[in-house]
Amino acid sequence: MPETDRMPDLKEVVGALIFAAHRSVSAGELRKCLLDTAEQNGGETNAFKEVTPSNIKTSIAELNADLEKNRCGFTIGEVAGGYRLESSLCCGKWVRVLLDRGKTEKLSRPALETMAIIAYRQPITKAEIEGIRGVDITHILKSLMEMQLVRIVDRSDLPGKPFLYGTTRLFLDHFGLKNLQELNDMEPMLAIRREAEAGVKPQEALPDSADPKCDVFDEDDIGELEEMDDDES
Amino acid sequence: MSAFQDDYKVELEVFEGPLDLLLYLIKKNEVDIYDIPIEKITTQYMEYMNLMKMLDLNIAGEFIVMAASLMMIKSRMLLPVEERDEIEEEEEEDPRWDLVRQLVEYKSFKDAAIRLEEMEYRQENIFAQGAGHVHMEADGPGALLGEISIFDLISAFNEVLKNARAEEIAEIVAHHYTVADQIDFVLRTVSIDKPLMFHALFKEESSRGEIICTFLALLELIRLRQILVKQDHQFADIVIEKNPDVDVADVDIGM
Repeated sequence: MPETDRMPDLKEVVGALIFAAHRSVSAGELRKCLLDTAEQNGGETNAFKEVTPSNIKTSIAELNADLEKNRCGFTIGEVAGGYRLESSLCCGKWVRVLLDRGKTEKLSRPALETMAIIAYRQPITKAEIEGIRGVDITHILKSLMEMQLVRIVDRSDLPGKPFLYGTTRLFLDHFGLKNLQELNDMEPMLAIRREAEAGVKPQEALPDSADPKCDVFDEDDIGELEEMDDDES
Repeated sequence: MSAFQDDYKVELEVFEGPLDLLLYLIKKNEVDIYDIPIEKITTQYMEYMNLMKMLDLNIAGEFIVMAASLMMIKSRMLLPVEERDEIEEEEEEDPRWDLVRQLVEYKSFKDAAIRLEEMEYRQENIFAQGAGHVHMEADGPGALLGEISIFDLISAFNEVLKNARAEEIAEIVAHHYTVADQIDFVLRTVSIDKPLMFHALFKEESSRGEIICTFLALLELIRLRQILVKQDHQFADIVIEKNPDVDVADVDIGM
């Protein structure tokens, strides 16, 4: 039987899709692709018509177990709500040389602190951040915006309608986070206090999303980011 | 101090705020954040603020506001409890409480920032298809100082300054130090294979003027990324190294 006619299992198909995508793909996108293929081709591809997101997650976990067992030098990582191929942490030195990346770039402590406040308290105004840090953050906020780690998400209802700042998809990417919920798991103290405050002052929550910290980016965000990428290239 | 800086003005922005300084002092003194010895901390806070003024650092107005709040807390702590109650009947809590609350909150974000830093470092060594890359500006606040805080440097500077020989009254010293000269001096002293201890930069017989110029030169070289400063752990001796990524021939300090 020629190789093209062999019927792959779900794990193989998922692996092929993630490999070929060259970008991060979400479980939803993978599932849609399986459904579309079944619709267009029919026949044996119908086998994957009933696939659920959790089937896909299991396949990815199996793939990762295989890759790690065989020490392939790469695994499938989950970042910013999507899956993608990632080189292994221990091989970073060599990849760095190949890609001519030079030494690692890091944010300064004051910039990281500002970043942390925005990440845990978003949406937040500049004045509120300055209240917590106790110092003017104009410079730092400007450069975090330039680095596209922070963006304006909305305007507050406070007098003067100040901007509200939040994190970007690139923020999740830069720090290797699956989603914003992962931040809460890291620092439960900050997350709990946040909820307590939200309980006292519910009007401060974003009108369009009941739980902004769990906000996994919607289509608009992705569109925006893709536009930004286009500008760069 | 302007005499030292006529020819070479060092413009240094301090990105740390008064809360950073207070947390630094609390850690340095190993005191309980919930029971701050306000008198001691206020005295030290003022000392650091004066040092920053002496160095002509661009310190934020918030430092002065905090100094005023500390003074107020200190004065209220001095009042006997009964009198304090008379003045502010409705408020019986510890006058330090607002400050403590603010410090504790900020501290938790500082800890969160350290976690983010670890994740950032980890992620820097993972390369992925379609991953975004953050472009950092060479001289933006994105890159300044790194491991060591400005207060570590000021603290080391303070120690050297305290040991400086007293100015002799009888003699008029013609020796005139400039920051530019001291930049040359530091660059000549520090070499790649030979790290230098912070204290070794200052001779025992150095005058205050010389110490201040050398320290400003050091800050400027850090800003220009010519040298790196490191510490094994906080409050350890500061080690100065030449930045191996910068070619000496490229040194242009804009004089």
